[in-house]
Amino acid sequence: MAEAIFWIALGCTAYVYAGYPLLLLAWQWWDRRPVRKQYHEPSVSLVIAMHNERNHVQPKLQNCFELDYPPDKLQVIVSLDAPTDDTEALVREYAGKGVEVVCSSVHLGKAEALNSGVAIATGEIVLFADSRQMFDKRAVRELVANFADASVGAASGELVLLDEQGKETSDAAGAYWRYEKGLRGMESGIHSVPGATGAIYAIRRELFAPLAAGTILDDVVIPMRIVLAGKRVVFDSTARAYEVASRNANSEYERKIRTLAGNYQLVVQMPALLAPWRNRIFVQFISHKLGRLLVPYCLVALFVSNLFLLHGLYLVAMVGQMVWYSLAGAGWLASTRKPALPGGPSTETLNE
Amino acid sequence: MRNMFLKLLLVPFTFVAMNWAAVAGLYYFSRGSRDLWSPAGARHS
Repeated sequence: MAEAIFWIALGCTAYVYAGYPLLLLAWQWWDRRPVRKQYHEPSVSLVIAMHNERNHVQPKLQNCFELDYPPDKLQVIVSLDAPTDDTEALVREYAGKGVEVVCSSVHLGKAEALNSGVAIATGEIVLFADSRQMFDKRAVRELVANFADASVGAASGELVLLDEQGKETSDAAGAYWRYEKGLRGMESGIHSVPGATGAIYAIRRELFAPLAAGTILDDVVIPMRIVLAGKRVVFDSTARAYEVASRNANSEYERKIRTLAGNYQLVVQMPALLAPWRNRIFVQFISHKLGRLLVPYCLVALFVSNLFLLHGLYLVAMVGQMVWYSLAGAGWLASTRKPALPGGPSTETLNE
Repeated sequence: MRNMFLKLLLVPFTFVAMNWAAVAGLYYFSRGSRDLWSPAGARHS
């Protein structure tokens, strides 16, 4: 019994982190569907939801003005969710420069802020952005080029995490994020990515349906609705947004918990995702999103079952697990010391 | 050298932390925690 549990748990964990990427590699070799990208200039509405973002308003809006896209085809909308600092005043300074502002006096959440922003959008394409990440100048042009392919309903850009020197992060979280982006690239090549990057993704406006209040992962719910509607959600690594990775491991960890809680919410809100006859990327969704939720329980099962199997190969496995968790504990202790370590778990990275 | 060692230590820590976050996420989701549903909390998913 313990042996069966051990191997099932090990198999599930290995599949999620290694087997699934290998499956994608083989799959895209067998059935690759490139996007027929073509540069054109449809009207675009850029929607940015903000709450208390006083430090990010000016750089973000300045960044919007510097994008390589015709200003008359780019509508910038800032949807404010009852800010309590001077975010609103700062944003309104840009109202005369073409920025449209919609402001809720009641704190309703990001989902409602996005709904309000999209409600006044007039662009053929709606581009969602967060306030903290800066777009590459060509990001909009690259992203909307994907919509020349009629099968594409949404396109996600790439978020690049930078260290303080402005270089792409090379720490554990950065490596994990690159692994994650590799998965997304392969998923996109086959059909669709089961979720977009919240910092930079675009959709055809006609495919948007208002989000339920309290939706945690708009960047997964919106793309997965589009997949269920029969369109593709592609990942384009040439459309880039940049963020300096935070060194505050605690806040990042809190955010990670919310992201993963959002995955549970997703399944409750959209049970159709669990129906292979409705969800065209059922295998990808189960392997990428739900597999990550299952792994911690597999790890516990692996450890507990291993306790009953302390001989031969299993003994080696037990020692390996003990060493691994001891190192993890040492990493945790080191990460709690000041000054901050060179890169704890980071914002957008873990289990995206 | 020291930095490199610390970075390596973060690999298992990051792995364990992200898996623990999945368990904590289920806990908060099942409780419908106010913190979890707070709009500020949901902003950068």
